[in-house]
Amino acid sequence: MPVVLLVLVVGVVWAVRRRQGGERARSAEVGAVGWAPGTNWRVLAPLARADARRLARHPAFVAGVVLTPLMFSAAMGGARSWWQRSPSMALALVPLGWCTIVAANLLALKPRRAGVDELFAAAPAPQPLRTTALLAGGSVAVAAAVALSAGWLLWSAATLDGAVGSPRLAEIGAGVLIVAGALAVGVAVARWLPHFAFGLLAVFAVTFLQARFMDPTTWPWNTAQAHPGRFLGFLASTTSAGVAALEFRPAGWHAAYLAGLVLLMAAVALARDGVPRPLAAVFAAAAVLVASTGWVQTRPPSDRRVAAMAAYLTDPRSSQRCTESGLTTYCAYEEHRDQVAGWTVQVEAVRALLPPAVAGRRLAVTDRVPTVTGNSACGPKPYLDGVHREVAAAVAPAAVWPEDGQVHPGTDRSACGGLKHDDLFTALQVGSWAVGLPPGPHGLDIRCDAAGQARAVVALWLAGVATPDGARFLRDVAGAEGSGPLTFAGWSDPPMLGAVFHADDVRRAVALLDLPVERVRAVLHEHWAELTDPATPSSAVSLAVSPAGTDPPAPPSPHACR
Amino acid sequence: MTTIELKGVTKSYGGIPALDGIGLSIGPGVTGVLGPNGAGKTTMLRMLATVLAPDAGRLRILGEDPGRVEGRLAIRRRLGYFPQEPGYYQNLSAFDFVDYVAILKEHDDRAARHAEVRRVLEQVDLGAVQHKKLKKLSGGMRRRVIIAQALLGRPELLVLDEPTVGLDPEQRLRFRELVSRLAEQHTVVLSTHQTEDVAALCHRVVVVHGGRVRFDGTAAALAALAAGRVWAAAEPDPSARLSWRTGTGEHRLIGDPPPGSTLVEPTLEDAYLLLLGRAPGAEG
Repeated sequence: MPVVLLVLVVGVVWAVRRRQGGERARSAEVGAVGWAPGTNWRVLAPLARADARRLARHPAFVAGVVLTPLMFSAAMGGARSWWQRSPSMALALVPLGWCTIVAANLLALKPRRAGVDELFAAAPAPQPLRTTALLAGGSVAVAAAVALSAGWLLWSAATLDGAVGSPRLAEIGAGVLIVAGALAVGVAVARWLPHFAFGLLAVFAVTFLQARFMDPTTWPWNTAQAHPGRFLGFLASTTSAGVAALEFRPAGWHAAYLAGLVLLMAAVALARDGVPRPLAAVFAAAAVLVASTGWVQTRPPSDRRVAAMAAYLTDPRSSQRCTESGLTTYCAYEEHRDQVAGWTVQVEAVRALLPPAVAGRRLAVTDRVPTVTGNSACGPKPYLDGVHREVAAAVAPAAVWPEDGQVHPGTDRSACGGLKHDDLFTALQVGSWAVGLPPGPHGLDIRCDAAGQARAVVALWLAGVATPDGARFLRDVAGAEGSGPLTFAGWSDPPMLGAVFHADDVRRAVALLDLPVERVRAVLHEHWAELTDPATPSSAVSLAVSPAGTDPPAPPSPHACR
Repeated sequence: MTTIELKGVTKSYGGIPALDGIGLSIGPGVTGVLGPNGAGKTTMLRMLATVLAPDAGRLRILGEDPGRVEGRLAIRRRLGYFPQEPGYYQNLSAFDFVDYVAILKEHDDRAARHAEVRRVLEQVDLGAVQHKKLKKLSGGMRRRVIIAQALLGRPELLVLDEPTVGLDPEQRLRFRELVSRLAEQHTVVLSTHQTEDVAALCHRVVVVHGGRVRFDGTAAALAALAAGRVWAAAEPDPSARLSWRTGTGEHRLIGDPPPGSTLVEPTLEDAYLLLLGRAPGAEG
């Protein structure tokens, strides 16, 4: 496929240049003066201002500016921390970059397209001066990107949307530099391939380059998502690790790398009129900057850094702060401290429904990474695929996800959005703990099968009652899943549960949720030992609460929860 | 004083000669270049505007060699150019377009530049519409915008390639007035098909045909070529070199006198047609 595309591009370039060859005799560039020694560079400032005005009014550029706030809004969806949001803001500036390529390309081609190239060629301002002015006038695009980003940050601050952390300017700066690079690309393409079709082709080419060759998970690399090679792309999105402590993001170096690429592309644009010594120096400086910052970015993490990352996973308490609240200990990573209050509400709501003997047991609620999370393409992906290869090799799954009987709430690490109900699943983990089911998965996402067990229905009922709107959500889940186990297929960030629940049991729990809470609670208290016995079928719950509505017991699963 | 000097200048396109050893010296005043389409007029004027290089021959403009980069720059700083097919930035106003060209002509001081832009737009009578977008102006007005930009900075050399095409009679008269005023101090090279413009403006006429100079002299001398060879008759004469029916119903004949005809005063156009051997409306 890439070979076919390459052949196609080379063919089009050859055809256009051949066609232009016939016009060369009439070309205004015959009398070009190039980098003439007597060029009056004082003209640069007014010319750049005039070009900036033209760019600012160009319909393609205006469309990009109008689109950007919408892109910011869309890109922020699901990202709760500025650590995740900042690269997303850079991503949201990409359409402005596309529009800037088109606008800059058309502006650079304007003299030719409008038929004034001969008139301009007879003026004393030579082409290199005009190209430099166009590149300098493109600062209006950079200014627009900065203003839009600043406006969005102010808007976020004014609306108090509760994002964790503070904006990372170097990450957002990557988006601004991408817009600057887009301008240079648009001008360079116009100078070397003077046909507007190549401007459009450039938009596709850079997008293809980023999507195909700058994503380490795709062909031809097929490597880990966290491979540092992704920083050689224009944009390097966060990995599915979703947390700053497990990622090495050399944002400042990446910004310097992009600045080098911008400089390089600007030099390519200017090289159309020859390469005088100062331009050769710019070329060399840009190449050195790109090469050195590229090398710095792609170095593997140090042993110390790998050890710190591994400790984050295997010894979470070393990176967490723990607080006591009643009989529950809550430990959370710094980035999830704000979620402890929500966990407390869920734990206490479930405890309030339990028999006193059970409610009086101590419980540990510990933040830990999920076994499965959404990847950059918003599909479920093993969590360790999103961390550095060296870190993944240094940790054992059983150490990251021990079978510890603790509640490990979902922390919404995926920035993919989609179906989520962390409160409900935290309550379901607490309910699972209460009835003796494993609250969270262990090892490489090992979950036992709770199908047909009465305690599964009890856990689901406890979660449904403890969570506002929980009954409706459980009903939706049961409706979507048919009659088998809940697979959460299509969820970008599937819930972390220690047991596999079945849609039939969810329906039984939903039927109980339709009954008065006090009545069900009283029956559960009275028959707690029997209903939480692994051998008691789920039909027993219905029989105990409402003797008229009973179903035949389901056959036992070979992976049944003990 | 010689402003432009061409010696043995040749230029070919794909082996077909457009200029075939042209030699000319042009000084201050208005020099009109006449010739049929494809004669090589535009090729010559593009060379004078430094946007086209000759294949061979010597070319000096304003004392500079356009073959050298420094020479080209120096010429362009003293040149006003009206190309044969001028384009426009349709979405710019007349003021903004001329202002943009003024920047390209190194008018870097904003206030002085704007004053200069207003001056040239007033000169071509476009002051009232200077802030209208070019796409909203008539074709004639747009050509006046191009004339205006050529006048920026009071250039020592004006190269005008068919500037009066599309101008209404009043504007053509204004244009003549403007050019004649400029020609008092500067050199104007004007290519046109309008022999009236040449007769009215040019102290010197150069007729180019087939890439060669066929006539070089005053307008009166060109007209004199047809003296005693232009006749008026009631009937057409097939033996005349050229003949056509005029608006009065008479036939104007060039050549030997037919029977019953009367000798009439020749015009520049008669002489031009006689020189090229063409009838009005015939294209070369």
